[in-house]
Amino acid sequence: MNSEIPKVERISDIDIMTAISGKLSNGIPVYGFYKGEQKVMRMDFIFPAGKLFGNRVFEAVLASAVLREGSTKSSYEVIEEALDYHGAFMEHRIHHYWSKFSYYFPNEYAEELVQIAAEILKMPAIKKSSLDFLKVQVRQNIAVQLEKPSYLARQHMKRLIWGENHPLGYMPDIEKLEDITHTGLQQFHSQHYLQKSPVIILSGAFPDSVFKYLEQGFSDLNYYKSVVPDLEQKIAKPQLYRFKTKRVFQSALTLAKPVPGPGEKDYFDIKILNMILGGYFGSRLMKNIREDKGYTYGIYSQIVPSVAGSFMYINSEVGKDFSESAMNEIEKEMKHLQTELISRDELDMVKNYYSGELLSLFDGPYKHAGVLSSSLEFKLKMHYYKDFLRYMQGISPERIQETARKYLDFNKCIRVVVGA
Amino acid sequence: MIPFTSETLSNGLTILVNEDKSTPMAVCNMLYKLGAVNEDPEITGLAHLFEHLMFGGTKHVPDFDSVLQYAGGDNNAFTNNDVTNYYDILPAQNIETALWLEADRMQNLKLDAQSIKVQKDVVMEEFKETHLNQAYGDLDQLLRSLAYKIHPYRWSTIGLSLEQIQKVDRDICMDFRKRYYAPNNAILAISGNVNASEIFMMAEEHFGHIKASEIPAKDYPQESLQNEQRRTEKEDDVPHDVISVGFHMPSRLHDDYYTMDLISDILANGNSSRFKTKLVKQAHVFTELDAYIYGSIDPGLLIINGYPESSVSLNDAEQAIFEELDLLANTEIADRELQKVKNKALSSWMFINQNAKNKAFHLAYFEMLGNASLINTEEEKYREVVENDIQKAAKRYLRRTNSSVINYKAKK
Repeated sequence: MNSEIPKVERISDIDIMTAISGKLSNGIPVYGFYKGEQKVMRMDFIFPAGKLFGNRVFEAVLASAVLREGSTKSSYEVIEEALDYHGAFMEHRIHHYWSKFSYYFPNEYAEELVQIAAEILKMPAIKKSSLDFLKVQVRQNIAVQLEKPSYLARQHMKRLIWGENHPLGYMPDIEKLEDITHTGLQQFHSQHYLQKSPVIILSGAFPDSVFKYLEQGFSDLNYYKSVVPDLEQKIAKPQLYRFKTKRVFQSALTLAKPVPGPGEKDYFDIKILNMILGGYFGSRLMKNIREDKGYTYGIYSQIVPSVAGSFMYINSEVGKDFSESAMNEIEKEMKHLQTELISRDELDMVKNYYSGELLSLFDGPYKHAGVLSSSLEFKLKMHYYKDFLRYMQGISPERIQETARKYLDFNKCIRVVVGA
Repeated sequence: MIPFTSETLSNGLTILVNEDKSTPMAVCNMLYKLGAVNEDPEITGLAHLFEHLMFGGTKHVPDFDSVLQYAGGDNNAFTNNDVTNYYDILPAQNIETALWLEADRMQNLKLDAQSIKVQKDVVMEEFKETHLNQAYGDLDQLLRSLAYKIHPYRWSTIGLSLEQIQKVDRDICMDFRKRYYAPNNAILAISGNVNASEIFMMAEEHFGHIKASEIPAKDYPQESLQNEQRRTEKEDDVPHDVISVGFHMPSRLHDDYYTMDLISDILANGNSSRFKTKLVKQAHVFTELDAYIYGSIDPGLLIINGYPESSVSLNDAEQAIFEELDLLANTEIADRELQKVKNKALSSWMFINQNAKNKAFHLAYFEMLGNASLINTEEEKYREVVENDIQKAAKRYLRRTNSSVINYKAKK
């Protein structure tokens, strides 16, 4: 074989599909990414009903769960049987701002699926008995999760970042579940699902007729714009916080720091810096703490953008004897990026890798729908990613170092260790 | 329909190509026909450890990942009982980099002491993270030990113990590589925005001269029929009781495989499934109840896992499960219900195969089973299952005397 590695072609641009866009007669926006040899499609309903909303802990999450427990017209069994019979899959994701319901199904059933979705989302029964059993399931699930050091670390971190009384900052206190009533959830549903407009995104091989079905199903909703609630955030002092757990084989580490968000100054730079530090398998953190020291099975950094405030996180689970050493190595890597310029070779590597990742981000109609739904809360156009690609390919080692000096101060990170 | 073309090199490497112009990416999937099933019972976990070692570098490149990343690509791998599978996904114009890398590590892998030590440590951390430090982490191993007395499926892919992984040394790794990592023990499948004839040319250039090896014949005992129930109990510091029941089922190529897959769907796939509506939502016997099949090549298991509601005893929970299974065995399923699970299975298959990564893997996997074109007969096999098949299979396989039961008790 040729012992020379084949030449690599750089990605100079990414093809981004332009969404079909329209509105229902009541103003509800509908976007579409059409593509498909296979006769299947996806339909996303994105409501501004995420974890930031609601007056009580768990409220937004339970509201989205209880929606799926039957409508005022049909029982849970009838609805679920209809979904399954039509080969449909439902996925729900809830973030800070959005609560998103996604339906995947063969496109020949578009009419039935829009009807079912309209019934579930607009007319949920929200009965006390359904809520009671949901609470049992949630309690059970949380009890299992609380056994995991990584889960505990994340929960402690949320509390430290947002404050105990902030809807994003609460610890999963099982007692607080009792405060949630089915009438409270009915109110939540009315306020956040019926009185604010969802965004609808279609992707795949959706037939033209689906617009007509959506009009029939959803044009009776009121269209009001949603507002991000103005909440007091109580961020804790950046230092090390240790918590005990009975699970003794590994400790969980997590670090967090506020960073710029999408559309803000330096956002592109911090995204690139994050990639270098811990965003991919060949990152500084992985190379050191996993490949060189063997302390862990995985260590990553990521930026979680949010209208409530964007943060960079570093997460890992390390062998129980290694938590202090691992923290020291993380600090070393951050300092390293501040004191030494990244080599051209390494920067080229990151640029190529990141370009490939961006290409993959737009690989197909479902991926496009995903990108659009995460861009909505920041009011960004999808072609923003083309700007990012161009900026990333032109960034210099000096600019990386500057960004590290500005944002990568280990002592400004809140640090949590959950261990024996 | 997934169209593809294939060629086999003189050294036995089979290459399959599915052209897909709808994506800017290409996936290179290299499947080695070996898994935990091929391991020495004294050195279990080796196939999985070796998977890690495959990223450790060759005489040409210091490590696998950086070369692929430089080409804008990403990769992953997994090991299970039957296969070790590697896939690389990258911008289609750089597919040759992936081919070059796979050929390079197939023949030039560096197995030095440092690399072996680090990966052993990483794998031991993985073992701790997934099996020791998690509630119910050993449930899979417990069930395997009970259900399989002599067949190699009796151990988990991660291995039986940290001690066995610790024992692995360079000689063991070299021997393993010689036996299993050869072109005639591998299948290469590519799916994406590529040109098949170009791929075949590149494959010949990069893999053509790699020598075939003598692959050891499968030499392990088959499990004999189970004809009485097996039970075991474990008590641990976990939040809830769990019950796990495993039933022996036929091999991947057996006619009944598809029936058993649909049975697991009837029982627990989707919210309108029997377990979820009757035993979870309505009767509140369980807060969670699942059923799935191994999907293994040799005869595998159909497994039912459940978390009983806190006021329900493990005995009563077990009773409830077997009552449902008896119902399935004694009453013919309604037309609509069978059609429902078929619709879901077919829809699922369609969605899964929209993705180049899954297409490439499936092509390689079906080739391993005997012929890649089996990928296009899957749908028909599900469609062919009739009501009577369900009843017969339930009677035959879902018997108490064919079951292994784990009562995983929470310490009070």
